[in-house]
Amino acid sequence: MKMWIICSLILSFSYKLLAQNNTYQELDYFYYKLYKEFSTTYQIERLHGNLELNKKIILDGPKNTFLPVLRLKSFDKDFCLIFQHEFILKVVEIEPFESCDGSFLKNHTAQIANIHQVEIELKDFELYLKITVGDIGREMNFKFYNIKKSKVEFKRFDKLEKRGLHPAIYIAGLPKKKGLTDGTFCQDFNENCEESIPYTCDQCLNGWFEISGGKCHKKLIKICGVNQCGVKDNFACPKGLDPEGGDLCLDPKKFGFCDQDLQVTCTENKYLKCL
Amino acid sequence: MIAGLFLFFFLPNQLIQFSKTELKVAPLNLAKVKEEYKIVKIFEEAIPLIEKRWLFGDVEGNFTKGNFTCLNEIGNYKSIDADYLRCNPNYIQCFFESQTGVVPTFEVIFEKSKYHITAKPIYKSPQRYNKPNRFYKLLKYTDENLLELSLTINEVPGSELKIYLKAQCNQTYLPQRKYLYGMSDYWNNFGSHIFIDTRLVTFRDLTDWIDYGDGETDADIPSDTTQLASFAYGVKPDAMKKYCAFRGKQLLTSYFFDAATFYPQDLNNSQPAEIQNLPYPFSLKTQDVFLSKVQKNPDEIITEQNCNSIYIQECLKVSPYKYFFPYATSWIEMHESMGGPFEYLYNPIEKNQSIKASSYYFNKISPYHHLGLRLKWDENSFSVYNFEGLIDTDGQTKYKVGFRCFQNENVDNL
Repeated sequence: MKMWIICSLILSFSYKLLAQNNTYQELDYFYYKLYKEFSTTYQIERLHGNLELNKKIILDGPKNTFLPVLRLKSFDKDFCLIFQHEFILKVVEIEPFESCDGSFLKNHTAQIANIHQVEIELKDFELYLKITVGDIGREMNFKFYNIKKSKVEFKRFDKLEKRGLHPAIYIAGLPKKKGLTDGTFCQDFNENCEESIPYTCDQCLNGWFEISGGKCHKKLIKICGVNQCGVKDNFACPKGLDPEGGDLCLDPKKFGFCDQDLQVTCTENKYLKCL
Repeated sequence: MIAGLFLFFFLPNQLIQFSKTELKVAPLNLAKVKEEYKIVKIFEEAIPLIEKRWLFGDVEGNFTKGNFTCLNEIGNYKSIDADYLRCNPNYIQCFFESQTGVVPTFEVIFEKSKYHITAKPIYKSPQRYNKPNRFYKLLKYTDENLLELSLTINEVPGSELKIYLKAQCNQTYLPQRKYLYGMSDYWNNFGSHIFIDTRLVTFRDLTDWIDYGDGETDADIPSDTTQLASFAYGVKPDAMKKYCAFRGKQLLTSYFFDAATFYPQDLNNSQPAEIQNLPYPFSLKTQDVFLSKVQKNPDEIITEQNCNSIYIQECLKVSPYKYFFPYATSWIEMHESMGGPFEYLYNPIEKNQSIKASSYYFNKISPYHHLGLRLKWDENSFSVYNFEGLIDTDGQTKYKVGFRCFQNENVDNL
């Protein structure tokens, strides 16, 4: 009887150790697998309402619902990080045109089941996760080398600072770009100065330039191509924005440069042209 | 048995489920994903070292010490400033060819072991180089040019990581403020993020365009590699625009050049009521500039120090013109704001007034050594007859006209 109890104890203890070992392995697998996959991310969308930049939170939500937390865009594939409260954290690969909302049924790239808690913090170029399964917690840090941002610093005179883990390097691959042809409007605004054409000037084949006019006089419109401003029948070169947001058609010369032999003229669509 | 059962039930339920489901898959691939993770981590350790080499070039100073054997790519250090090696693809080629006086690998330590990262010479060489392969290729990636390298870890056979280097050297930001063009034309660049090349475009830059962007120009590209470091001349404005477009940029406009060179009276006030444009780019104290002194006293001798400030005609006999030397640096750190060669500017306001006048074609007492003064050029050729206001006794001089580009950038609000 004693032997039987001892054997049972050893068996149960071994089983627990084995289970713990498997948990460690599963967490390791999750981290190692995703570290490589996430390293080429160039853009992240936050899908979980409570997730703010640089703020650590514990993921929460109804027990029987899959919640998309993040969408990570890599150069050749996208990943969704999906969470179900006290049950599962999984990462699935989706096509760029698919949404994360219905992706929880897809095969996972990696997942952790039976989670107790997930702590998360998204920074500009890093993601921190702490996943707790039973009494085992594992911290994970993912780095995003391909995310680049810029910021204007106001120091002695303003200076634009390029930012990123390593701003001058992309790794592994580059996202496809459309290649916008000359003359394409790559950013425009409506009467309320909201974007009517979202910014895509990084896809212009031959650079881009700015013009004054259009529906919003507080912003400059961006067009792909080689700048020919100031020349006859072309756009006037912008003289900048009026801090008071005045109507540029009332005094076009105040808002645009043209060759000295030409007139700065406001067209029907309120663009400034040289005629 | 009771204890055994107790322990069995004591185990967290989810842990049991977890172990049941995951026992099947996790151990199978763990070794593989761990190895892949290790390779990524080793490459990551090398990234800051590679970036530093790309952005700062010859950090050891081997070029100026003469410990450099890369004459077939870079040329002679006596005629070129070491800044030329920053963000320079030919320097990267020299580096991996072991010709820069340093070991051509990046050594990193991961989990107490040393690894050595290097690049593979797998890219087809353009015809101008007498070698079959190169360590890089230049990609035109819509609005930017990137240098692609294929890295490998010497200790991990088959390991490979492609990286793409972005040229972030030799550009300067034009602060957002109110500026003056001419005598009375005020304008501003509020809301625009404008980066201006600090240097004139070089012949080496043109070779990138010709080799990787099908660029075409009438300019004679020198075969001597030292001369490739020279500002490019003999290029017509149409080709200048096409070159800048290849880089995702625009040819520099005259009023941006003025904004980058006229020293603002009040740096802290971006919207001054009035602006006065001063003749020299360095400071508000015009009497401190040597040109101001020699114009009052023409007998004053031009020294090498003067020439390092503004390279005018007399300097040609004082010290040789050095490529990439930071002559006449303006308030936003744009070089060659005065002196040096002619520079073409796209002038949408006064069409033909397109040549920055201050240059080494004029002597110390010339009135052309004044910011904002420009010459007319008919854009057809480069002899004295094509420029207005030049006097040339033999008519044989081919005037050298350089150019530079600028780029708009969108800024994320962080």
